[in-house]
Amino acid sequence: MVIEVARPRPLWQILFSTHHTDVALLYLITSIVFFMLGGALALTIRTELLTPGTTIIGDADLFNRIFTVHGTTMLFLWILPFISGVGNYLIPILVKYKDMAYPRLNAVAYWMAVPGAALIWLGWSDTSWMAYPPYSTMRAAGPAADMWIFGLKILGLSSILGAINFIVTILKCKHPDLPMMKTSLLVWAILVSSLMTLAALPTFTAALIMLYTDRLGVSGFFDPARGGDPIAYQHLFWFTFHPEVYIFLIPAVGMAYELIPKFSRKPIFSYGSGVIAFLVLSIIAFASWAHHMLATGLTFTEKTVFMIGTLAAVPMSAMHVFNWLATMWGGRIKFAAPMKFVIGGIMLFFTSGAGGVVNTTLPLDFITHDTYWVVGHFHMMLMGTVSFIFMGFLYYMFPLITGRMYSERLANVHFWFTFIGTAVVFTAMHIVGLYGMPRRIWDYVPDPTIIVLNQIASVGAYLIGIGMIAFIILLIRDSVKGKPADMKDPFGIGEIYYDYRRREPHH
Amino acid sequence: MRNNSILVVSVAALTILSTVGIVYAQEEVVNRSALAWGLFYKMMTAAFIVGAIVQGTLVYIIFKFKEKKVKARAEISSSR
Amino acid sequence: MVELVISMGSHVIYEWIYVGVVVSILIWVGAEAWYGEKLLHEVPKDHITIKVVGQQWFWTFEHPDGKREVGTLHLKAGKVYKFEVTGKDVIHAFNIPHFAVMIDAVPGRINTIWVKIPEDAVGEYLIQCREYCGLLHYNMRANLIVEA
Repeated sequence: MVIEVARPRPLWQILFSTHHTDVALLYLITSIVFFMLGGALALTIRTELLTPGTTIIGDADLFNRIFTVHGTTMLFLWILPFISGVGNYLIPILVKYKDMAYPRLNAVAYWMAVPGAALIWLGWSDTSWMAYPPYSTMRAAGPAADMWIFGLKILGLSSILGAINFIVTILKCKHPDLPMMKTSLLVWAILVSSLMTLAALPTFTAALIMLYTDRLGVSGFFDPARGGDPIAYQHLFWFTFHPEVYIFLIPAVGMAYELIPKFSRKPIFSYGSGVIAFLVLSIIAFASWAHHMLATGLTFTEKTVFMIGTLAAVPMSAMHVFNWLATMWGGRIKFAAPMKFVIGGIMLFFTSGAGGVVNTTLPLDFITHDTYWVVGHFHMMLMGTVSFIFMGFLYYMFPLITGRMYSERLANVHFWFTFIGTAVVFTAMHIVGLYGMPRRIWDYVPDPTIIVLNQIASVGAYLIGIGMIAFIILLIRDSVKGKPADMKDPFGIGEIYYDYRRREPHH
Repeated sequence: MRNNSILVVSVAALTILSTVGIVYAQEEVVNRSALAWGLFYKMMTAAFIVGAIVQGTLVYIIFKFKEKKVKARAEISSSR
Repeated sequence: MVELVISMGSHVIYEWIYVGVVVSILIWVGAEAWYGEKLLHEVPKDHITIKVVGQQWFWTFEHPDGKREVGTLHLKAGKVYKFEVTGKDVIHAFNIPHFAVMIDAVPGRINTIWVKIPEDAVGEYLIQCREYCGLLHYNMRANLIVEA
């Protein structure tokens, strides 16, 4: 961006550009802005839960709206746009093509995300991000819930367009002299997650239409009084959103594969097993969706099948961890900010992964389902692993984007506050869940243990908040005033950096 | 080949053990929360053991293979 | 696929040993879980059936003799109870944290779950809703009173 500052272009040139780096820049800025907004909502939630009864949010209605918007924002306006941003920047570079396959479609996909985001943030729905009927069809207040449905519909279409673009770019526009088995694992990750998006997302977009017609009262897909079944929605929803978890995770894994060998100064331990793990996971990911619904009255056989499907996905993640550790073993590791975030991410990845295995053992569902244990578990994955690796990768791309170097000292502040905060807040959430505290509640039972654990969690959240303030300062200050980076090898690790001359726009 | 046989044997042993357990299970009304919490503690014990190994390896790697140490080691070995 | 396996080269053995260990652990986890769930799944023969209805935002209980209670449930220690749980308007979840009882209350469906109240469990316990159900979800609680 600072290349922009050094050699300024008018803003409209970036906004209306179809060049992959410009679209990527828009995606990245949008996602970071929403990350911070969603984080502000999270801090509001944690402050409210600091004490039982009213703390800062006057009523439960506002609280319900806040956690709905927080969840929707973090998933669809932070993680997904960030993946698109990184993919847009790097996929054409990594497959040696001049741009994305369909530059205009690319810009359209980005600009569809903008009204989607606007609908979610102007509506403030109170459906929770899962929007289970009959609540979302019969009781949720309009027009907020309708705006939420349309917002997600648009974001879903935008994701599908983006996925098609990535698949075509990778499979059809790859340089003929570059075999698929010699590309970066990040290319494989984006390819696999895009294919999964195409397979998974249409189900949810269909469910959204059914949800909307149910809200209008013209159909009764999910209304038992009209022969429908509320559980059918949950099947459709989780058929999309369990694979979606891996759609979030796989690009993060690909980014870790991009960073770890470079900062360990060693080749990847086993490229082949990384590819195999991606491909196998992309199929097995579709066999475990109903483990989110174990308490809805599934039969014993259904429960067993989905438990096996869930456990079957674990070895693939374990293979990635093995690959990372074996790559670092015997290397000469440089702990610059990107590597710190990736290693922090791996540490928390084990925690969330083991927590997932514990979750899926069937009788434990009676203890943990819909408690704060689950909240702690998936935040450990999405914040602790996915967002950590994303932030690390953003540091790695910082010289490419800005032509400048970030301040390692401030990045250190960001890392340690965020890492300790993340470990504290989500561990405390796991434990408070074991005491039976349900999710999505504005007020809790004033039991001394539950109060103390909630306060520990809130303190952890404030630590993350401090880390994020350092992050914002760093991003703004160093992209304007940072030292010019050595573009051949900005991190001094003796590895070839991305081809930064691509910054010259040619559209 | 040997590894595969180890794998097969261990899987078979686990399967047989759990089947035996089910066949000889007593016909008493189980205590729901005792069973769930018992399973929870068993799982957490396993998770913490595996976690100690994985996280321990990671921490070992971080301290053993960091840039400065590897450089220092290389200097010592080259001076000999 | 052959190409992939070859590309793994001499590392293959270590990696497969490791995957074998992981798979063994997972099979053990699955077997334990399956066995536990099987024990909990079959309802014991001598049970008392309680009908539970969740609606925004309170619980109604109906005993076999037709006696109805709202917001409080009286049970006897040492007896086996089967709860037939359903929802009247939106999805709720019937949860007694202390006895690890947890099942969704879904409109149009009757879900069952059973529990044996231990002999020494006389006292007062919390019943709560665990599935998000709207404005007063946080306060959708009831009292469970276990009598001797």
